[in-house]
Amino acid sequence: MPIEHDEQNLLHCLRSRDHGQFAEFVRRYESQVFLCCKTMGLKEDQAEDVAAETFLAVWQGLAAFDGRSKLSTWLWTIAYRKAINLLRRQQPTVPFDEDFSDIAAPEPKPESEHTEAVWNAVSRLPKAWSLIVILFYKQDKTLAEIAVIMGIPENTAKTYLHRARGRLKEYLAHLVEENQNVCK
Amino acid sequence: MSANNDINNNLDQIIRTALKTREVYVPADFASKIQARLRQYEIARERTAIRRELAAYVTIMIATICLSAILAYFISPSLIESIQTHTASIITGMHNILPQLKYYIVCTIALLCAGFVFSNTALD
Repeated sequence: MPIEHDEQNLLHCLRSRDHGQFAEFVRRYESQVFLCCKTMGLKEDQAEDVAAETFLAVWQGLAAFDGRSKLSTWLWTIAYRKAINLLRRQQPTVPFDEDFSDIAAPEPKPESEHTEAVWNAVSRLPKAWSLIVILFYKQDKTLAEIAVIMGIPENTAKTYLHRARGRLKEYLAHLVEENQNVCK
Repeated sequence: MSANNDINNNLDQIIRTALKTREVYVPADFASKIQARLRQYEIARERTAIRRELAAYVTIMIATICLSAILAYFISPSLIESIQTHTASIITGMHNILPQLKYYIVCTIALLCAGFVFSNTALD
């Protein structure tokens, strides 16, 4: 898949090895990397370490990046692998039912009940499923891109998404019903 | 079937809207921290490169001196014998060695030149 024009420009700037440009790149993508870390259940300090390692890996690997995938997909791939490696080193692993309440900023804007309910429902999913849901719905990644990021076959990603959607349908049944009544 | 599709579309819409609404918390000075770490990394990388280059030059120089000694021995075997003979009184015996040292000097210079050309090409 060819990378987009602005990403190509960004990549060109980054390859000039300018620290200022790289800081801009970090500001642009830091939220995505932190989102990946938090979705994988990392704590605040772990997320920061993994995010820092991710960006350093990007800096080191810029010359080798061939641009076959989007820059953001590459970044998610690195962040996901770093997070997985950290989790593998940890014993015991972080429980699946950890909620995402600390994903939001310390003083979050008032959110609707829907938003809260959806994030809670996503946090109840197994990590791999919740990551797929985040990538698909929040980051608008295609199944092919998700498969690349997670290093799984595209069909597996599709199955996980299907199962996650099924589980979310159960958890959010009341919201769907409510929404449909409003539509009628 | 259609009702089921409606439910699924509705669910997709609810999930998408909710997920896109929430902002992710990022430490305020994260980009600056990365910049600082990047500077440290670059300094460490430069130091490593310099150390490696220095090690390469030193190795090449030692190898050059050894090689030139061996070559000089083949060109003028009496040189080594002269050094051995005059080790005890190297200062007084210098006048005996000097004429033969020219072989050693020529070999060293030639090998040093070759070594520098080779190391520069290899390190680039």
